[in-house]
Amino acid sequence: MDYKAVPSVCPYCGCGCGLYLEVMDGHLVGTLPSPTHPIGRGSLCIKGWSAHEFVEREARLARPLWKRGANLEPTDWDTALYFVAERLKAIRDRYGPRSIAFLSSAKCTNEENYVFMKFARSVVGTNNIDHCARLCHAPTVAGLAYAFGSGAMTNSVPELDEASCILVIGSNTTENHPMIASRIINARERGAYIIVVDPRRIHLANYADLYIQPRLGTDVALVNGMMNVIIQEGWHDREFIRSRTENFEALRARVAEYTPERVREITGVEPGLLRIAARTYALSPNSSIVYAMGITEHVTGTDNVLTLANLAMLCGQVGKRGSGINPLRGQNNVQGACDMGGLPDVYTGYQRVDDPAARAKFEEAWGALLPEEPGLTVVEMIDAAAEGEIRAMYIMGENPMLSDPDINHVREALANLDLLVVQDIFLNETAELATVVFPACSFAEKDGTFTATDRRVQRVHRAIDPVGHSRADWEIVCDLARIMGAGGFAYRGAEEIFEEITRLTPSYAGMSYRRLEENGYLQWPCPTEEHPGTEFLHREGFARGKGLFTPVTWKPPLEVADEEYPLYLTTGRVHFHYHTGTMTRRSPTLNREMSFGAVDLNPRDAERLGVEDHELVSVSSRRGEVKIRTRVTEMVPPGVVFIPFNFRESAANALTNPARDPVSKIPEFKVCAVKLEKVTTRR
Amino acid sequence: MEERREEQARERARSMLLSGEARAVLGLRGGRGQVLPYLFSRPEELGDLSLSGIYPLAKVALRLLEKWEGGRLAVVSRGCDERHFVELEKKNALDTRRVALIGVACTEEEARECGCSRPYPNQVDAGHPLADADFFDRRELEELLGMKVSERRRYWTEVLSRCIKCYGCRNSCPLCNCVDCRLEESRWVRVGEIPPEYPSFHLIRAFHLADKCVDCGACERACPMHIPIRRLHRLIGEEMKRLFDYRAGRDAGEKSPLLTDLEEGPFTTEGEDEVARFMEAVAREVGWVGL
Repeated sequence: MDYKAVPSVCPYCGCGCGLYLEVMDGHLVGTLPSPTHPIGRGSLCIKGWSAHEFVEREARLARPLWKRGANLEPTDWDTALYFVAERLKAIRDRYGPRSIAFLSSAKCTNEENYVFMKFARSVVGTNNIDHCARLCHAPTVAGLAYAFGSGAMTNSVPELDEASCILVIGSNTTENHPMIASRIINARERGAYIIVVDPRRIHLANYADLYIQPRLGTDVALVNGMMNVIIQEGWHDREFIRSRTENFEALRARVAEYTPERVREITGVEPGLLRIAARTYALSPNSSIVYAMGITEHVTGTDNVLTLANLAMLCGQVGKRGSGINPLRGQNNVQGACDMGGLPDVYTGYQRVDDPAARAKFEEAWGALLPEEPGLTVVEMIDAAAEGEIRAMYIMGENPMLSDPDINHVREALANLDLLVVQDIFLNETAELATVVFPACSFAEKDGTFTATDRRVQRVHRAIDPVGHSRADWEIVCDLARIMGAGGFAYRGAEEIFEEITRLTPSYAGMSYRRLEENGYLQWPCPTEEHPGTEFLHREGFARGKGLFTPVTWKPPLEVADEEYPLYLTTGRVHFHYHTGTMTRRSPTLNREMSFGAVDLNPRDAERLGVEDHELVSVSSRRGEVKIRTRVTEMVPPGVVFIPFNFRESAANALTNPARDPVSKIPEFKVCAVKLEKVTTRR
Repeated sequence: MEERREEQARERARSMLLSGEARAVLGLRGGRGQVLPYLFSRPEELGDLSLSGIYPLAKVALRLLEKWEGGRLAVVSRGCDERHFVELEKKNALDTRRVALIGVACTEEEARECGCSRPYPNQVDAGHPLADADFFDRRELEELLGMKVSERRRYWTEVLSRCIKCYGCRNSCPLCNCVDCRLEESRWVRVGEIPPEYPSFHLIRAFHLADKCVDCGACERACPMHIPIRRLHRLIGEEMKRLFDYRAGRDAGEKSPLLTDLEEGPFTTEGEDEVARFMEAVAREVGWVGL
């Protein structure tokens, strides 16, 4: 009998917890936490403990599939690869490279995202590449890059221990980033003041010194109000503003309009609470902001991020140990997928495609002419597919049929394509619509790196052989590139790809597999081989030089409740599942804990509507309808309902509004108008 | 000192492998800033055997023994690990003929950090037993018991409500190995909710371990929300000592006072009262009754 524990990294959220996969006679039998890992510290959440469960499920895709008539039928790799290569070439030749679009994956490794991006740009010749970061932290990448020059978490997760005040806004941390909640609880035990701002009374609110419950979509007004009080009282950091920022006067003028009384009218938050939050945040020695989708998933997502950047700069609460702005990235490798250029406007390390010098560098390295104009974003691709401008899509490890807003529209758009290639580990809702499905390997079957939320690059190791005839995503893409006649895709392994990444990416330049193994991890920027990596950003100065204040005006959500649709719907995830459930719903432990989604409804609304707990109801918006059971709970305020987007049977995104933030193009997942009705059952 | 202890453990492991006394040795393998469970089957690998880090290896051993064939499995065992095996033997969860232990005495530093009251196994192959050392600080329990019941309830409600139901306490515990776990049954604990109901989740587990817990601390180390689970188990352990003069992990020949053959002991007319008194005492200590 053979037993080994193989070090890996959790494939779920962006915390990046280290774990050991237990392998017995070539099969996964368990997951153990890593006691020495800086994030997990010997702990895991229920998803982490279950990380091995989905890997060898029977439902894993074991062979390539292709559409024969109405059905997907098994075929061999050569047939599938040559078919896709021919079709891609034909579509590119007929409609041009901009008729093809790519979705890369925050679940795949850095190496795979890099190869996929290189394939899209250098072999097909399009910048139409994006991924689900568009649906979570695009406003962060845009907003923080604009204000500071770098769109990532400024501090490291362990530093939260050292914060004296933590402002958690729009992050249900215990449910969605449990090991970061662990740090917040740590900080509280050490005396830190915890402020939780959330329209829902989330678990962490019970451990907050101050809980503020604003109305949905009023963050800009609330934070402007805090800044109004801070400036009024002289609690701002004049020296920091003078030496490290610009455009303060414009900010001062704008926030002067947001008096506590006006803020109360917009947000429903009492001036007294606003004042305590403002004072504590401004005057604590080390204040840190922690935020997530509650801030970004709005048509004002970029505005929301910019106001938080304003607040931090106003109080000098950034660029210090334990103090800064910390967007919690959702997926295990969403930071990496962005870093690797899985975005329509940048190559690796955020080098812009429309910067001639950057383009020349990549053209030289790849030996190909590259397109200059930025490509389409996720939701724009879907629209373009519906209009017939996009003729082919290649989707690696994503499931837009559940994760994108307004999925009825997504279905129509995908059905309109000449070619839909889906590469995944399971036949998910999107793969069901594919022309060709490539079976890929999970995290347990391959080598590579993931970049966690705090810019922490870590190794995953192949623990078992590929399931069935599945192959690592990078191998599939490289084969396809070679069949299409491209050079530069003959890698011997993931390490060789990583070496190419480090040559082309200044923030990763000092990294290597050897260093990652020796050190356990490296945090970017890590520009040279001697560089230890960077714990927190903007210590001496901002990446862009001076931090830029951007005055922001509050705007209401795009869709407001009215007579026909009198309730607000907000969406998100639940603790026991991950995103579209492709992996978690196939994990027995997690499925036992929660096997269906429910709509959260305040007891007052339940009484008014005459519905009971656990009753099947219909929730509908202007775009669609779902049938779903109720969960009557005080967690949501009256007038607001919450539906998790994890469940296909009650898909929240059948209802959501695809309206987009004009800057970052993120859809407004967090607010739309719905109605809730009893389902009359026939007797 | 540490090097010498490690060398002793390696030496013992090597001789067991060479003599055929054991077919493989389960221990921790060090290097690259991390230690992880490893099955040493060749003597030349033993240079990597590490004693840094405390890990509930009995849990891994149980998994291995499910498929184990031929020869014995040696396990590097500290005092707490050995006590796990004692309890597993008592509960017939393990065939001791298939297991051999390599006993390691903890250093004072390790014992202090763990708050251990007996930081060495009965059989020591490596290190020196710190006999008469007791690092279990009973003051924290006394402090707790000094509180009013309402304060105690507030305290336990606050800390237990942090729970995010990772099941790490159960998963890391070698003695938490029921085939069907009550914590997963919706009849006892509602599924899909965090925090799980207070106090059923934690009290069910605590009572299940009442006569088993050897105070190794693995549950608390695995808890992401820093719940002082061990304090709860220690309260119960002290009650077991006071009421029944029983201590888990001491001797495989000892019978749990909570076991019954329905003729004498608990769940008979006479014994039932005793168990009821015990359960009530514990419930009072966590502030669940007596308000």
